[in-house]
Amino acid sequence: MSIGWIECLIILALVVLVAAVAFRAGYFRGRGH
Amino acid sequence: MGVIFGLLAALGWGGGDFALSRVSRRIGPLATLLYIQAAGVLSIGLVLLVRRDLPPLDPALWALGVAVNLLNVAGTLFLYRALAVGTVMIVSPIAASFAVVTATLAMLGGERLAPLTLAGVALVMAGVVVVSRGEGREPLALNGVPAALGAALAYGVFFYLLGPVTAGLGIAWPILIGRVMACSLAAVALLWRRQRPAPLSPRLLALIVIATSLDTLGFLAYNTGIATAYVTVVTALASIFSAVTVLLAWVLLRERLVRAQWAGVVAVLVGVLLVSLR
Repeated sequence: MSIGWIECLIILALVVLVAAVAFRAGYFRGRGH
Repeated sequence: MGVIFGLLAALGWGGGDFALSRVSRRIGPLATLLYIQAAGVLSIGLVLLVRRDLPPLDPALWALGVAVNLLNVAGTLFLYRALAVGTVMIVSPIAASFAVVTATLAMLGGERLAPLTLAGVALVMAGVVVVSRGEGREPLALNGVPAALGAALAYGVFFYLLGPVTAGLGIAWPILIGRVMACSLAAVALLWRRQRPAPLSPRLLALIVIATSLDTLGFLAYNTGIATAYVTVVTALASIFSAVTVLLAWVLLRERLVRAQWAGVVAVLVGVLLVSLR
């Protein structure tokens, strides 16, 4: 099995999607403790 | 000399992460992203200016740099979140184990990994599991672990994809692209949420300056080190920068771990060291 650009772009899209959803859900909001 | 540059890089990055954990806990991940990355743009811009390092004008390469840096920004946001809510001694080594993700991708891409590297990958995975299981006595201690794993994943893929970009642009320009993206994104996000970032108190400003200077010191020491032909030693020592963060949190924050978690932290750090010897 080998990793090409398509697979890498899919991983990139997934991680960015997860971060975006987490962001939208307020996961990165506001102050710490 | 390789040992000195490697240790300097580890001290810089590890100390920088510790300082920014204090910032993120005070003002939250988004405002930290804004302040720290803006300071980072200044510092790396200064380095590029002093070196008179002009980038090649290749639009495709720059577009690739921007695309790949989306992962960098995502990873940074996850790291800041992990340091803001988590136990530094637990989340810092987990987030710093991104080399394992990079090595795994290289393996999937057909690269043959040495037995020692494979042992390192296994050690890190086991260490993360052990450190995350805790003892059940302190449920709070595991806050931030998902964000730390997210950071390791995003950074791991980022560094895997960064190869073709650094081949054309060098290392400093892609980092500058990432920082410009990160602080603009933070500014837009804060505006969108109508959130005002915490005002800069003298103490906060001092922490930001310390974090940024240490990070830049790490970057310069690492670059100087690998340019002087001690690549293996410098890379290996720099890779365990998280050990510095762990020590600082242990001494200055008096964070306490149970014995099994200590074993997990050490396993992660040793595993990362083995992987980076690749």
